[in-house]
Amino acid sequence: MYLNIHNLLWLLLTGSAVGVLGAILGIGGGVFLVPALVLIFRIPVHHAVATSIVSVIATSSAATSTNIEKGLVNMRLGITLEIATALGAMSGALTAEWLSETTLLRIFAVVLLIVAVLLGWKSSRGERAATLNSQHTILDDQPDDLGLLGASFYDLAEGRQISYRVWKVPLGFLVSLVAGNLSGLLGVGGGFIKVPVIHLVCGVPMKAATATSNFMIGVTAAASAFIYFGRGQVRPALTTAVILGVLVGSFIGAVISQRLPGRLVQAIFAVFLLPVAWQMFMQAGL
Amino acid sequence: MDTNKERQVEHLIHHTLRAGVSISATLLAVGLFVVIVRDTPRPAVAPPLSEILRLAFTANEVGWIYLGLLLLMTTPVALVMMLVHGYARTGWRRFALIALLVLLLLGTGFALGIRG
Repeated sequence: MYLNIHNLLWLLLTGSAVGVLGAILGIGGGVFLVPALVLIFRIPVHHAVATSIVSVIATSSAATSTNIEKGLVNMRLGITLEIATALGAMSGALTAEWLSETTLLRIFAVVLLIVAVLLGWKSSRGERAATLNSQHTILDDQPDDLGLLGASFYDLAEGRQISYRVWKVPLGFLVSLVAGNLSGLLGVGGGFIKVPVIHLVCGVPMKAATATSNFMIGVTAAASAFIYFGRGQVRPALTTAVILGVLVGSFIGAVISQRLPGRLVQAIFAVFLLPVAWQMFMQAGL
Repeated sequence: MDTNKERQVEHLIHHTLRAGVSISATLLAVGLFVVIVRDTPRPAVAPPLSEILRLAFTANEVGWIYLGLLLLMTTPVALVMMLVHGYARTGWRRFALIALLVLLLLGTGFALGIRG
C-alpha cells in the first residue's frame, strides 16, 4: 500500500478510532488495529502485527505517565511479573516468523472471540463491583503490612484510600508468560488476559490492575518490537501514521470516556468483535 | 512500604515517559509531514543504526521517522533503566535487581533484532 495523502488520512483516522476505543474500553488497541490493517488496508498480517506492537508502546507510555501520577500503578508488582511477560513476548515474536499468515489469522480470530467474551463479562459486572470486589482488598486508612508487592492508592470515585496485598504471584507469573507470548505473536497488549487474573486471582483492585497492566504492556511490547524491526516488518511511514492517530485518539478517548456509559460501550463492542472474528477466519480461509 | 521512596521513583518514571513520547511523537509528526509533502522515497529495508543517525542529523525526513520510531521503542527501556536507578538509590535492592533482569531481557530482544 503506497502512502499518499488519501491513505495517510485513512490511517490517521483508523489510528484515532483505535485510540478512542482503547481508552474507553480499557484495553489496548491491538485487538482492533491488527484486524483493521489486515481487513481494510490489506496489510500482510506480520507487518500489521509489527505496526501494532510499536503503537502499543506509544499508548502504554502515554497512559502510564498519567496513571503513575495518580498513584494507580503498582510498579513493584509490574516489574516483577514483567520477567515472565518479556520472556513470553520474545518467544512469541520469534515464533511468529515460523507461522504462516493463515495460522496467525486463525489464532487472532480465536483471541478476538475470547476478548468479546471478556468484554461482555466486564460489562455485566459494573464499575463499583469491579473496584471493590476483591476478597483481599483492605479498605483501612492505616493499612497493616501489605507485603513486598502490596500497595495503596486514593480512589477518587470512592473517596477513600484503598490498600491491598498481592496473592498467588506464581499464577500471575504463568498468566503473564502467556499474555506476553500473545503480545509478541499477535501485536496485542495482552491486558485482556492479565487484568482479570491480576484482579480476581491476585487480589488487586480493578483500577490498579488496569493501570499496572498498562505499565507492563509497553515494556512487553518493547521486548518484541526490536525483533520485528530487525526483520524489516515495521513499515516506517505506515507505523508513524497509525501511532500519531492512536496518540490523538487515546487523548480524546480519555476525555470522553468520563461521559460515556462504559458498560454499554463494552457490551456493544463485545458483540461487534464477533463479526470481526468471523472476517478474520474468512480471511484465513477458515 | 515507604511511600516517599515510591513517589520519588514514580516521579522519575513519569518524566521519563513524558519525554520519550513527546520527543518521538514530534520527530514522527515532522518527519511524516515532510515525507508526504516531498513524496520522499522510502527505503525498502530499515537502514543500520549508524545510517539512521546520519540521516537524522543531516535533516533527512526519513532519518527523523526512523529515529522517532527507535526513540519510541527505547522509551520503555529507559523506563526500566530509571527503575533500576530509582530502586537502587532508594535502597530497594531486590527490586533494583529484578528491574536489572528485565533490562537484560530487553537487551536480548535488542540483540536479536540487530542480528535479524
